[in-house]
Amino acid sequence: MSRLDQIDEFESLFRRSEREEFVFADIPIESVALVTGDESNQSVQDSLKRFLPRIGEAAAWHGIGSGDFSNVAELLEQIDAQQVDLVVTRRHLQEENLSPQHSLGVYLDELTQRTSIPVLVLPGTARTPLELSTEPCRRVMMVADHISGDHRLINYGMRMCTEGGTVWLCHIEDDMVFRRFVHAIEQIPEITSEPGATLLEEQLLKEARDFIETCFGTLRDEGPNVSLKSHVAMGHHVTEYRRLIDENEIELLVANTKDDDQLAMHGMAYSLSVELTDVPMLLL
Amino acid sequence: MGSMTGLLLANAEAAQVAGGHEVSGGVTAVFALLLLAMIAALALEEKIHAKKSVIVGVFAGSCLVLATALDLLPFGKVTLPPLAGEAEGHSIEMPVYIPAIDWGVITIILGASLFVEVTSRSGVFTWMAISLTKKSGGDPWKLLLAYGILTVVFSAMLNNVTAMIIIGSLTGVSLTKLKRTDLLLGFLVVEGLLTNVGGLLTLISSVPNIIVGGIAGIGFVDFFLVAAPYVVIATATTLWMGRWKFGIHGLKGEEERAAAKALVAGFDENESVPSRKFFWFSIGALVLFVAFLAGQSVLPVLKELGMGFVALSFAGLVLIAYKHEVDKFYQAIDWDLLAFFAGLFVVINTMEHAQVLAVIGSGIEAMIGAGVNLGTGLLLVASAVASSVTDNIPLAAMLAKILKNNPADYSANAPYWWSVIFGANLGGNITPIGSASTVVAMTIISKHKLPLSFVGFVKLASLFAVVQIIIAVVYVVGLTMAGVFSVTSG
Repeated sequence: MSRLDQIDEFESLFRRSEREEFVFADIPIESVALVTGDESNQSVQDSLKRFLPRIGEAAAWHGIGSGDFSNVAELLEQIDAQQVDLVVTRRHLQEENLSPQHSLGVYLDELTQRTSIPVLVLPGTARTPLELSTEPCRRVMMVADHISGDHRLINYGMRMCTEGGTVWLCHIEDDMVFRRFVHAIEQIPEITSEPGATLLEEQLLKEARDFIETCFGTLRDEGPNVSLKSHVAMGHHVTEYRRLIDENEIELLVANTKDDDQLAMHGMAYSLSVELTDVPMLLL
Repeated sequence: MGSMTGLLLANAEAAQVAGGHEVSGGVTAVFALLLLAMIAALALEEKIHAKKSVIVGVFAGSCLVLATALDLLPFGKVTLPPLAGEAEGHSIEMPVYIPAIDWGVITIILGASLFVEVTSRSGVFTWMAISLTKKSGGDPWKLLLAYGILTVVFSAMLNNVTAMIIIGSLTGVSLTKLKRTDLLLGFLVVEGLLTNVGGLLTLISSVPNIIVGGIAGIGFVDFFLVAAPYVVIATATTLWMGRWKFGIHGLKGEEERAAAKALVAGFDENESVPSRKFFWFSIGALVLFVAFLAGQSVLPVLKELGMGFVALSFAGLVLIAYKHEVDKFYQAIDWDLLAFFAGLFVVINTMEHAQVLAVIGSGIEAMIGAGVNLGTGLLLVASAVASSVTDNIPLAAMLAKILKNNPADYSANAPYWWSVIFGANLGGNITPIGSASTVVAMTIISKHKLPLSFVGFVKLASLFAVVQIIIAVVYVVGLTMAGVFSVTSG
């Protein structure tokens, strides 16, 4: 083994011992904007107060009717003016007549990317809205393909869950991408294929498990009274999350949409929000 | 090097009467040139893309062939010392180059490196390094103190190169985490300089120590008692100079301290510990290893079997923990280094028979003749300068052999042995090619794309090296003046 290899080996060893410690923060949500396509937004406000009791305690609710804006810039202006902590909206807002099936609609798409305010997407679409559950939300799932260090995702998920409920911290590593890497490893003579692929898989999942472990430790000490569960695995995002949602009767999905390297929504969040239309989603 | 050639050629005639057998001045000069060529090739090891063992092997083979052709070597049976009650010892046939090798040195290096390789798998060294990182709270000055002390301790317990690899790697990772890569160059230079200070701490901390200590007959405990105070003084001075030279200061604000503490708190020292049982077993084995090395010279049986046997026994003991995969550890042995030593001893043996060592010895004799204190200081400085441009191992081996062959028959507490030990170790700090550990430091510096050339290193490090060498001269001469060292016959 050359000196450079030895240095690299020890650097890897030390990097592996780095842990990202989860920091709990009770997110304040004091002001909510409702942009649902209804003029009054009253029925949505009432059902939201039942579904998310902790959000229901918010002091201010601002209804933005469909007549209050005619393009994205105007809507963003209105939201900025209200200084809200949460925006509630629907897919395909003001696009009811276009009957889209494979998109979120211009407004939702732009809202998630051009503001840092979280967007709660109601189930269904603007054309065919689905009702929120009449019971308080007690089963929240936070989903990521890179959960390590995503404090915001977890803190928002915790904020949404009703006292006594259950939250799932999930990390699914895309097996399609992984298989591509393994295929590349198999073509590199300097890397032994079998341990290379196994070690890579173990390390990818270990990082997520380690972070979730620190989350559990901190949340048990400082967090609200909720049960904590986790799921870390390889798989296809949409298929795997669909299965988990059905199996665990998940009532709210929380996902991160921002991708520092691009203007468009994060790939996994986009496909989940297009395909899983029957579940309310909080997009960060 | 040119002046050394002149000295050798000028003294060639003297060689005829210096040794036990007749050797012409011309023959001595030819072998001297071969020796110089080997030293130059070792210094240019990286340039000629050849490993040490190959370079020395080529010269060892050439020297053997030439010495045999010129009838310089004593062929014949090797006679072992007689047992009690026997008049004569047993004679055995042995190739002439086998007894030329100092097997005591080879067994210590083989056993100690295997032992360290196995125990380091327990994660004990990385555990110590990460624990101290967390204890520092991410404060740069405390981190430099922690890493500096660890570098010295690891250099003493493991070897200079492994110590630099462990601490240098962790320094890169932790300073990146702390977002203080602006301090990385200073940290790595100071650590590189401290490896050679730590290499002075015990008899088995560096190869020059093993070779010189073995030939001089210095015991493990005696070595430690002499070297430890110097190591403490030189470490403290180097760290203080590093703080001043590279502007490595402590954090001031409470907020800064809390943020840094939170960052390093994220390190998990237990991550690299695969088994708690083996972890504690390794710590126990390390403590026992040091204890047995310290007591070897007075313990019955071990006194006769030597330090190499202790090292090999402990290597065997810890290998039991990995009995199904010992081959993995055998692969990790630095065979290049061991083959290099074997070849080097053969070269030195032929140089002895060709009277080259006697000629160099006459030059050293002139240095020593300047008086005990001045001679001690001159020999230390000369060893350091020579060690800065070439490998310190052949230098130490050659000088130790010359001192051993000196008619004055120096005892183990003669100051000249210490001049060679201090000079050979500390000279490595003057240039980046002066020692293997400074080469590793440069490799890490280059890996992090930090701007430091050969000349840049010399400019940065020479001030530290000069101060360390001055302290060493004052220390060794001071001990001589205090009567701790004396030039008496062995």
